[in-house]
Amino acid sequence: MNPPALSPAGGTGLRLRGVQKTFPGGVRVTEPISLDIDPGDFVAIIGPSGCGKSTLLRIIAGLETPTAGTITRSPSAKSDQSHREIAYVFQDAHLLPWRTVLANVALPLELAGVSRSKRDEKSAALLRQVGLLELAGRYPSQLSGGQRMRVSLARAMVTSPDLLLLDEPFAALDEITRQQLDEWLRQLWHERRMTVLFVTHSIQEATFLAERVLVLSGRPARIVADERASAQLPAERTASLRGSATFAGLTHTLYQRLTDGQPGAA
Amino acid sequence: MKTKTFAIILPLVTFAVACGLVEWLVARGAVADYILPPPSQVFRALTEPGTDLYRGLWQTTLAALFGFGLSVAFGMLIAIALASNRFVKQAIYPYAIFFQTVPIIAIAPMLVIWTSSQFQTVAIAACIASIFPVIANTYAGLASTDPALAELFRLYRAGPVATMLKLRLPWALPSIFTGLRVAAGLAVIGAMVGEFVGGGGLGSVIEGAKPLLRNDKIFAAVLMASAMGLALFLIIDIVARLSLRHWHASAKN
Repeated sequence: MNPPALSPAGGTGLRLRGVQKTFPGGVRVTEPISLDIDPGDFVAIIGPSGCGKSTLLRIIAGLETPTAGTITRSPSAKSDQSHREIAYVFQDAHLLPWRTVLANVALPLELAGVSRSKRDEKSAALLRQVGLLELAGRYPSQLSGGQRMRVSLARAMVTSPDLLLLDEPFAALDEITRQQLDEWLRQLWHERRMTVLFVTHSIQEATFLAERVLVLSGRPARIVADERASAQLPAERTASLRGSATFAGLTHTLYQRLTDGQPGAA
Repeated sequence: MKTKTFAIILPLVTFAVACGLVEWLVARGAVADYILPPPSQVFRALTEPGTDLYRGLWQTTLAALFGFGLSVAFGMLIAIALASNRFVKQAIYPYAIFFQTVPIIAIAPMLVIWTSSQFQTVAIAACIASIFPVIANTYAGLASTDPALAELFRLYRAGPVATMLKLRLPWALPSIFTGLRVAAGLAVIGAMVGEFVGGGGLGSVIEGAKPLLRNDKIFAAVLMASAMGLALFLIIDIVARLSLRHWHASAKN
């Protein structure tokens, strides 16, 4: 069944060829990794702690340079001043504590030189769309952990990025908040169809969120499995999905791949 | 409510008991009044008609404030330079420490030679005495910028000026205020040391009172200087609380 709800893909495509990272001192973080990601796809990357999945994400973001290999992005169709191709969400919200929610969300636009009235208008519109408008005047210290993370995501989305990179964004939250944010993020992707790369160590979260799940081995990381979750799961991901047999089957398969990929596995 | 009342009353009780004790000791003749002036005499010195204490206070206050202003301006600029570039830091930082170790009393005579007025001597002495905590605390604050936020600014291609103004300086603000609180008291001390050597202000008042054995007047001058330093400290504290009230733990309570 192909649901009509998906809007056309708006993201950028990614092509990695032989991307490899060695830390100074000779510690190999990743094997050479080659990978193609379609525009508008939602890809989750799972792997054991410290396997280099965050490093891979940071390389794609341009925060770190690969020791070898190339990364190419398909060119963006958008070109207005407020647009940035890449947005990155960290493990914690990392908001500026002296700014209100609205001013935090407007920050990327401010740094891009967008005029005050325009960026406030744009940020407020986004906050309304993601259901955070009533928090606009609050300071981060007045928010819950989940609210802070949502503001952080809104800040990432304000530049209409083609590529959204998230590094275990909900790992510090409690299970219920985390599931709510998963649903919320999935909804956001549904509406906007940017390309999403989501790093997590939770198999359930990866399965619930992603169209495609990549499983990395322990360090040095290589891709040990590449599953098309969208082939088995519906496009509309609701809370009840977590209890379904298909969901359980898929997480079990991924769990197998994850343990098979560990050094010392039989 | 009750603890708050006690917090105000108890220090006042201590003060009253100490004053009463000194007053009593001097009245009994146990201590000579030129050794330890009784509080009533200090109060009389403060209210003496035509006393030069208030003119002295005014001069010292102006010079201390001016020197403090110089400290804040130059101290922060130096700290920003230190935090902006590793080579600048290595080249300058040892000399910044010099401001902390230099005995202000020893170089005050040089300041008299280098400057063209009493006011300048005193203001520069106040500045030298108070600049190091401004540099050290501002630098510490700037150097502790959240690395993830620094990366965020880099991702959005913010230039060094925007990063300094919108991220690093606000981030350093609590630390900067710590530096300013320390510097405020030091500026008053520096100003009075400058006055002992260069003349003017409460320093001169004390110098003039010494040969006359007017210890009551010296005490009055010391009280005034302390009160001024305290007032400066409180003003900075209020500004700090107002500017940090939304976001920093130090501004709560």
